[in-house]
Amino acid sequence: MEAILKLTNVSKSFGRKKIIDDISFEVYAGEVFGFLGPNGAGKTTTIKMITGFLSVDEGSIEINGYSLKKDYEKAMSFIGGIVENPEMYKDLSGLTNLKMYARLHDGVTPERIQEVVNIVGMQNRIKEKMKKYSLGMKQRCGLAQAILHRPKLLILDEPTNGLDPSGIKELRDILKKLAHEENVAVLVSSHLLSEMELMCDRVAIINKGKILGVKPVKELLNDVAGTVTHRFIVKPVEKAVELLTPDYGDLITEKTDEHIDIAVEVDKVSEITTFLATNGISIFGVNKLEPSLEDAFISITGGGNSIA
Amino acid sequence: MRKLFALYTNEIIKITRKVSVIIILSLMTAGVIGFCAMMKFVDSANISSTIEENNKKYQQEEIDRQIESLKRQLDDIQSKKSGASGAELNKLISEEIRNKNELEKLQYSKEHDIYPYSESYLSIAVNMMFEKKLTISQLESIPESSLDNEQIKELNTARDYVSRFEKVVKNKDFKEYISISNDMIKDNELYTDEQKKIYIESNELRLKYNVTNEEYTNQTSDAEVYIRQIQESKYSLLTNLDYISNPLSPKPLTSELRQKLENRIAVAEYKLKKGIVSSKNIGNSVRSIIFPGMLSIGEFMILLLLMILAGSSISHEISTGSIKSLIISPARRWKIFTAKLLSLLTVGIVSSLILYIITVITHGLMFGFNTGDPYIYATNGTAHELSFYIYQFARLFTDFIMIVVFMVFALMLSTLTRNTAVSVGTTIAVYFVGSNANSLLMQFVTGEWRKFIPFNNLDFTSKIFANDSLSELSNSINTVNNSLTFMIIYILILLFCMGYTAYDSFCRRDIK
Repeated sequence: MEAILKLTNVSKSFGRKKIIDDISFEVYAGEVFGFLGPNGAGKTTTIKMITGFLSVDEGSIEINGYSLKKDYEKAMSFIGGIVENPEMYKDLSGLTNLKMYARLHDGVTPERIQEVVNIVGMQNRIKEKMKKYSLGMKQRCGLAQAILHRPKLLILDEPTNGLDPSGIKELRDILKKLAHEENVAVLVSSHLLSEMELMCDRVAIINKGKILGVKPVKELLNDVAGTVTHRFIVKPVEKAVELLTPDYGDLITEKTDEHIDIAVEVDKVSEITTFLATNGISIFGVNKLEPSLEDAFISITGGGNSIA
Repeated sequence: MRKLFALYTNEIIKITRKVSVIIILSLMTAGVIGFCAMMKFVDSANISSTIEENNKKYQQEEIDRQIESLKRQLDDIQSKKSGASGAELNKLISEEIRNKNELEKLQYSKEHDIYPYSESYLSIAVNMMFEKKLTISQLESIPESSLDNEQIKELNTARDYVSRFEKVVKNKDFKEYISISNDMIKDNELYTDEQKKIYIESNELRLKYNVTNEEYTNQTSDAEVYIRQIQESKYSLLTNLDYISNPLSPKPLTSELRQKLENRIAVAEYKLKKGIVSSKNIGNSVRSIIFPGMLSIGEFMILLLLMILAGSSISHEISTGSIKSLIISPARRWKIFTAKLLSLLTVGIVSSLILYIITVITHGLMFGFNTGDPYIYATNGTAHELSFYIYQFARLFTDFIMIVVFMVFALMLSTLTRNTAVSVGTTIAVYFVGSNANSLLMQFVTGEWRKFIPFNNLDFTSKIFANDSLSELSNSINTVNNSLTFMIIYILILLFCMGYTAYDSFCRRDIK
């Protein structure tokens, strides 16, 4: 497979603090690559290094085979993207913004501009000034700008911010289409595993400036699915905890006045409910929780590493 | 290059859509037209004639007061004389003669409606006449028998002059006045032949251009200013000593200075011929300052505009985040920076052109087209003129150098601080406080280092167009006189340093 983006031993410090510590990964053509990590993990810093906002202290970044350091303009010409929020010129219309951006790239025709406007569904409002747009519309406009020049590498930093559920679905479809049909390498960052699950082919998990692991999303989910957090809504909680401690004490992740969260395999759930019921605990419900970032961390690092 | 042009085009699009640009340029137009209209009003109200009338009244009162006081003094002397004797008496007698002479002069002036303290030829004639009369009275007080031949001759010439001056005053005969003045110069034994020649030449110029100075009561007429310039330049050339820059202890002339003086004479003669307002009278001549006044109002607005645009150019984009679409585009940062700089310069030049066109049209409609004075300069002792419109246009662009310096300063602060308020505020503060504080400081300090202060190297217009009356005025106030070459080199280095600091900071620093 063709690696469109290649990071080799990249490090970055702000002052004395090391923000990115020796990370390496590759993004291939035709895949949606997820960049998963909590806030402050270094996702945006990495993306800013790839897009030329920040200098690279150590290591190298290659885009489509061109070094970012040596062939800056060539390397950058393959990139399209949104970093943090899509910020464009507010006093200008969406169309003018797109036209200005098109001017900086080779071979963007007016037809292509119209085409991307249609792709993101902005044809009715593209001539209005940017300051009248909602956050969702700005996102759409930003996406239109990012894909305008048919980049080989599309980078989107938290792209679902401000989008409504149908907007998120649309975005997901657009990204999948771009990757799978037009062979674009897509790098998406997020702190939500649930979002990554639906969007990505592979994910890298990053925390405290280090990459903890890179896995195909299906594999990750399978691992996570093995031990999913279940929420037992019971009464009295204290007594239930007391009862469960000997066998499941290590697996309790959270307890409140109303519920206990336990990370267990699905087949253990009926065992626990029976056990509790026979010991006189009232059970009001058992819910399977969405796999969380914490679960993914536990899965990818074998429990040795947590977010905190 | 193609990419740079694309970036530049984008910058121009961004600037033209800014509300601040439209507002400031509208203010500029309103200010320029408003100033012109105001001046039209001032000009038509003819304020100077009422001033003149008040002046006349005041002068008459002054003379009356003086006459009264002289009369009192004479009475005083009369009473003292009775008790005095010997040397004391002689002293009192001679004082009496002088006071009587002065009194007669004032009475005579009043009778002929002449103000004896002006530069009008009639006033000079009256003064010289009574000087001669004093000589006569003094000689007459001595018994005729004890006069020697010399004194008798002097008495006769004095009498002769008095009767000639009386004729001048009676007939208001300027030509006769000049011929008397020439005769007196010729008779003066203190002058060398060359000096006599110079003074007579000045008189010939007065006669040629009819410089009677009659209408000027309190100030030197423009023509008189030029004639004196010519005279002192000629005198310096004759003695080979530089009396102009240092009249008290003149230094010998260099060949460069000689050339300069010859050019000065040529320019003064040309201005005399054209009747151009001199630097001494520029403040009283409303018309001659309207056009440059309009331009400087407009230039100030352009300066403000560029300070705001440059001071926000980088910082504003960073704070709003719109810089992101620039950074993510395949353009090196130096190209982005250069495009910004070029677009700012373009805005400055285009608004200057707009200003010029508005000024020419407004001024032309209100005061008539091509009514201003041309610029006079001289090369190798021959005077040339630069037509009014071309000259004013050139001035606009020499003033633009100063605007560029402040613009680059604002741009530098904008990139360094990444804070629009700080960079725009600081630039405006430096502009206002700096230049004023500097001119104040220059009055108290001396030393070679003063020439390295930026504010002493910004006024290119007064330096390049030094013969302009306005420039003469500001050059006379300016105590630090750097050469043009020094100023050019200094400003180039300054611009390079500020520009490079901004460029380096923008190209290398992270955008977080």
